[in-house]
Amino acid sequence: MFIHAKADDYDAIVIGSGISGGWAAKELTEKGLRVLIVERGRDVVHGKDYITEHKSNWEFPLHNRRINPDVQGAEEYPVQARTGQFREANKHFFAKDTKYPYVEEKPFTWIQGDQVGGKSLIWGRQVYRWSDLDFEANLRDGVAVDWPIRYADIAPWYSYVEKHIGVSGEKLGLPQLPDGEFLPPMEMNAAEKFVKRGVEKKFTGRHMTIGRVAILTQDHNGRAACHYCGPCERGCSTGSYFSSQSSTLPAARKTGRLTILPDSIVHSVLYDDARNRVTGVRVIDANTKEEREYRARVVFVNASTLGTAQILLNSKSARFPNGLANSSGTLGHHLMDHHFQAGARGDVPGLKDHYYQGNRPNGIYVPRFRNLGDEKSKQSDYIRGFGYQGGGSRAGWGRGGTEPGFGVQLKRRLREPGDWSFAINGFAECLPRAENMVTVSDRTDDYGIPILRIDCSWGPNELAMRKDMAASAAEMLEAAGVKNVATFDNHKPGGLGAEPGLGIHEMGTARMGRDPKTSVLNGYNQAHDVPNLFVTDGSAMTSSSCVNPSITYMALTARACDYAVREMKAGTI
Amino acid sequence: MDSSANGPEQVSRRDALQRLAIFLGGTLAASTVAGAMAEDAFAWTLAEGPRDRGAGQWMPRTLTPEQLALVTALVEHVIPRTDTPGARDAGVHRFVDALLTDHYRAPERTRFLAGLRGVDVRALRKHKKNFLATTRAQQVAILTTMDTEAYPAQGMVAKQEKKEQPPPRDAVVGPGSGGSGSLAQPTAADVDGATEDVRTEIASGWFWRRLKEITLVGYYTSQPGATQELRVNPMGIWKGDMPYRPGNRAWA
Repeated sequence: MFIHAKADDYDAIVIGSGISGGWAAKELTEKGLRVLIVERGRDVVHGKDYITEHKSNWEFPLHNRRINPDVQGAEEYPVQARTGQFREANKHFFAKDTKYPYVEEKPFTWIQGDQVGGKSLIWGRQVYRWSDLDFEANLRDGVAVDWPIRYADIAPWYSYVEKHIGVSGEKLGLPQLPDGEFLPPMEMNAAEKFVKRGVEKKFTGRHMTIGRVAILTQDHNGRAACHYCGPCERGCSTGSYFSSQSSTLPAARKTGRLTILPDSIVHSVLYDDARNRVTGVRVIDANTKEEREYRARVVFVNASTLGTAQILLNSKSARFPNGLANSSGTLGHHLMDHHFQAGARGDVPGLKDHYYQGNRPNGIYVPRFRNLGDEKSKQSDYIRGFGYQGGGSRAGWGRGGTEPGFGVQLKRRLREPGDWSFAINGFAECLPRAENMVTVSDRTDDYGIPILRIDCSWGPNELAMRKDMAASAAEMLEAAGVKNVATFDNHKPGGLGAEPGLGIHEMGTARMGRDPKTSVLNGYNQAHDVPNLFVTDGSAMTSSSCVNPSITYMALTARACDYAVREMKAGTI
Repeated sequence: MDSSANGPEQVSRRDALQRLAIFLGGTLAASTVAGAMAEDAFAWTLAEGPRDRGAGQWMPRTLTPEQLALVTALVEHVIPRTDTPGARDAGVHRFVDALLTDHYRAPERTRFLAGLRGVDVRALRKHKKNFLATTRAQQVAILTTMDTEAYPAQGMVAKQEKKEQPPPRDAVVGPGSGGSGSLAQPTAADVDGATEDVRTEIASGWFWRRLKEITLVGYYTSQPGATQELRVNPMGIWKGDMPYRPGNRAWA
């Protein structure tokens, strides 16, 4: 049964309420538009629905045990459980894989949210500006297609976004990692300071800084400074990290022009062939499976990279038999993710008279130092580069399980903190390759929606880079005086460990570009083929950089909204 | 009350047994202590085992009473009561039963129970008695042997664990791809309990490492372990680099 809402009940429909969807809703409502957010997951009310916030371990039946794929509790979450971060305290903020299945042609871990706020509730909160090293990369290397924008186009929008969400960090003045509008940085611990000193002394051009993070180190825009309880991903009732709930949705609500429709799975975007315009969305009620339609003048697709690809591929019409706005045939292709889980760890000697207090939800960052455009940093066996994330800590009671001994002596030993250790893990750029792609399969989910078939693997450039990620990490730690340095690379060809998707930085499939023949979106995230269709989540990315992408989605979204509203006012869409 | 019973500190047998009573939670009947002295044996009867039995509503869901008594003794050996609560006080035996019931899938549960049986098999082979019927010194000797075998050399453990647990792999995810949560019982034991899976477990060292690991997890994430033995890292402030003095307790 179809229920037709009145034509153009809303000026804009935003599909998804996560990081980019929340930003689209904020910007569009603040510019006067009546906006409907269609969210497939349940409602999550800020504060009230953070049901595990500040609970102690012993308040959980299994003491907040991690749920890996091979234990009970993972039956409905066999993919989500692969992250190693899926546990009793946060499982309610991950989607059930049984609800949103996909075909895994090669190992690909698709981490999904299923609630208002999407993955903004559980994201890693690391925010780094991209630079022209990134925006010019494809052109310079002759890979894929050129970005239609440069750093100068997006820089003011980074500032605009940072001022709203609040980003703490340290300015470095590096061209490959532009500084932003920063709140005071968090302090490093003793081991981190030790390694930083050693690395920066031994290697010119290599830096170690505290993570730049969307967490408040002082009160900001009516939100309280972080209280360092630790596990952000349970939700934060003081709004001290950026989530849609803490930051964008309240701003959108304040306008009085926002409607959020939870439990509403978008099946497809409606398209009017005669006018060449999208007209709204077809929705399936997540509870009753009833079909409904909503209409608006403009549609923003912010369903997450792969969610967006799935919706567009399932939006078929006479003109677009292979997916909406897909005259180029590139929709679904050039899927990317950051590859990681290659680096090194070791023991930091001494510092036994140093400790820390509080739970800092942040680590350290080593900005990219390879292939920066000069001869010195140029690598012969791969293009692009990587940064490191990591940190130091003093061993806790967990070390007792890896050492011989039991009884009173063990208990006495574990009463005091153990030795310091330090680890860094590369986060690395992945090249956009046409063969890394998604298509819709013949299978449907419980809602009758054709599910994605994901076919993605690392290529020779990624694999060559990983060797350097491990080797350079060890070289830096050893030079800094770290002992017992051991490298790691968890990638297993054809298996799990460092497979695509695990980085949860999936990008591409509806890329931006200058030429409608080779890209889906233009420089304003507007579909080349359909002027009132915008896509501003990770699917729009033309290359992947090596830095965390979310703040770039936010900046691109704000910029696209500014453009869309101007065009609507001008009457062109 | 050290794990090494013959440490430098010499104590009388009576002292040892009195301290043992404390070690066991202070609930040993005087007759048990007397009996133990008389028989030169540590006789912790099943009826006086885990003090939750009969005292409250809690009942094990996977472990039999005998297995529960053995688990309770083992976790208390790993983290005994001292000036702060021990594993038994913290309910780690309950935690182990909860893990076996609600966390492990059948193969891991079976393996754990086989390893648990292996502890009795070791005692039977050496002393012709179940583990709980042996003296404390004999128990500590058995566990010391297990500990030595389970940690052959520094750095070996991680490699072994890795080899033992290959990551799962699902070609297609969706309904029906989850694993089985059905209960499985260990295979029936022969005369000394040494079925093939038990013999395998005795040789592997896996059981002792796993028991220690979950004892530490269960204890230090319990309220007594986190707040009395260690300190809960307070929220409110981040101090990245502050002085530490030996003797200060670690953050839980």
